[in-house]
Amino acid sequence: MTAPLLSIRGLTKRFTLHILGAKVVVAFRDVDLDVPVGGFIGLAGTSGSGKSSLLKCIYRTYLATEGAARYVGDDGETVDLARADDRAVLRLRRREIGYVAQFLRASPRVPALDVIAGPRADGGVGLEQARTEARELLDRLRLPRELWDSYPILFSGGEQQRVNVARALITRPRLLLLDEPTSALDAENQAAVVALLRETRAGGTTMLGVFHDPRILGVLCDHVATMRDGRLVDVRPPVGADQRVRPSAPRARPIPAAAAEGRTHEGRTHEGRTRWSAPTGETA
Amino acid sequence: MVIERPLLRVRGLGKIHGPACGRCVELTGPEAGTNRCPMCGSVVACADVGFEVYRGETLGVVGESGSGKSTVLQCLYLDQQPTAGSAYLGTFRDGDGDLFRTGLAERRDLRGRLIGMVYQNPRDGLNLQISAGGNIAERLLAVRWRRVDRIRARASEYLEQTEVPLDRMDDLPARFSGGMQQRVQISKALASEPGLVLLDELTTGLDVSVQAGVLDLVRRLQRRSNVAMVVVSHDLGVIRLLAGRTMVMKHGRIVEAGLTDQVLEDPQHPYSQFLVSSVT
Repeated sequence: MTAPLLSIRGLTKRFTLHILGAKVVVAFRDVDLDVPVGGFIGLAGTSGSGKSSLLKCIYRTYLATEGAARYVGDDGETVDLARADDRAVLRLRRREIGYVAQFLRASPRVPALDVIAGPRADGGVGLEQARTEARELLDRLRLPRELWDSYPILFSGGEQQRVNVARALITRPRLLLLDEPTSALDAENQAAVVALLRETRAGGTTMLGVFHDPRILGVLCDHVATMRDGRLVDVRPPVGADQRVRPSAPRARPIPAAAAEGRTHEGRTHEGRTRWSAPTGETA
Repeated sequence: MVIERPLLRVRGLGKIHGPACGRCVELTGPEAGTNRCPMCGSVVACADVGFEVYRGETLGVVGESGSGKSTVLQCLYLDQQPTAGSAYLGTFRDGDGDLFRTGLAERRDLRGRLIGMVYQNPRDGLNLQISAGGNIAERLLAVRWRRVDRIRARASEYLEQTEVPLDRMDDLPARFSGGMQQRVQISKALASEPGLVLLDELTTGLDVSVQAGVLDLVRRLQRRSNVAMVVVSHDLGVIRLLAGRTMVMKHGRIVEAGLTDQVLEDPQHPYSQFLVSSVT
């Protein structure tokens, strides 16, 4: 078994709200989770159970209070994202770790096409090449062409969400954190995003994502980690996954070695179950 | 792993106005809730300020008026002589020379060639009684540019980059709008191609639509060049837009430093929490 790409141990986030008399709010506590190289782990649970906070601690938008989130970089070095210095985190964000927030926060007065092409151009390809790739992505995500030169702030929630997804995918990160990237989309646009995520994963991107729709979890994920009241209570293959071919996971943390081989079951287990399982991006 | 050397290293920077009794620093700051020394009445504009800036990055500094953020910039641009600390610039004497212990000629070189400064008030950065082009020429002449044709070419280049119409090059900035004065000031700061540019409240006092133009200009410059910037602002929107890392100052001290999104979404220090909750 190869080492996980991301290994979370005892991760805890408490907010101390000084403006409310130092009130302490626990977002989540004692989370242990391994995300295997090339895997796709879904995060499920009710609102307020700590899923988004967990993603933000990994991306370092939040500072974890305790614990570690050890990430194995492209250079083979392990970095604890909970403690690494700011510069190291910025470097990883630029080159290796992507994040799709629930809501788009794009720079004002930048056309959608350049919002997406920007991070790619910063990564070293020319701006024109980056724009070409951005156009391909936007076509795939079915964003109407007449919007490409407009400012995303004027877009609907679903349109903004697709810009957000495209911006994260264009750099082909090694690890992609997704916070409900399909929540504002209708079925057809959801399908487009799901297909693109599957392709991106087949291209080598490891993913950890919050989804509310169990059907999407079923299509995309090898394992679903469920959070309740700030604790990770369960890690297992998605509901409906074929238990005959997939060894069942223990209910408790940490997540088992079986997750590392999750990809081999992808597609087959969910075949015909949902409309998203278009087999175009399959590798198996 | 590549160890990157910072462009600017600041250590223990302090500036005390007044007699300084020796206990000023310990008796002031965020915990004391004041920057006036109760023993001797000196004002501690800033103390124990330390940070690094790397090539190509923008560091934000936020805080209210009187927090010491402008003092830090003015010390770095050698407008003020600090009372404590040291600062090293990678492009100056191979990073070995303390900026605060320099002679006149070195100061001219630092201010004219190695560091650029954009003040809140264009009057502080520009001579309003000489033309826009003349302002840029003045900066280049100070660092021994001699050929008029080259000076003029460089001035046009930077005015064009900052979208100042070239037919206004020979006009006095006194007759320009605030936004255009600010753009001339930016072209002046950049014309000698310094590795480090300090920007002090560059949009404060401008109309919102004009602010947008100036901010977009700075963002384009960030993308196009490898220049490092320190952006001081009380406006968290400006910081969010421009800075990758941010420091929060209060009563002359750095109370928090981190990634900009972390400082804004998960501020740790009571004052940072207060600051963020005041606007969002």
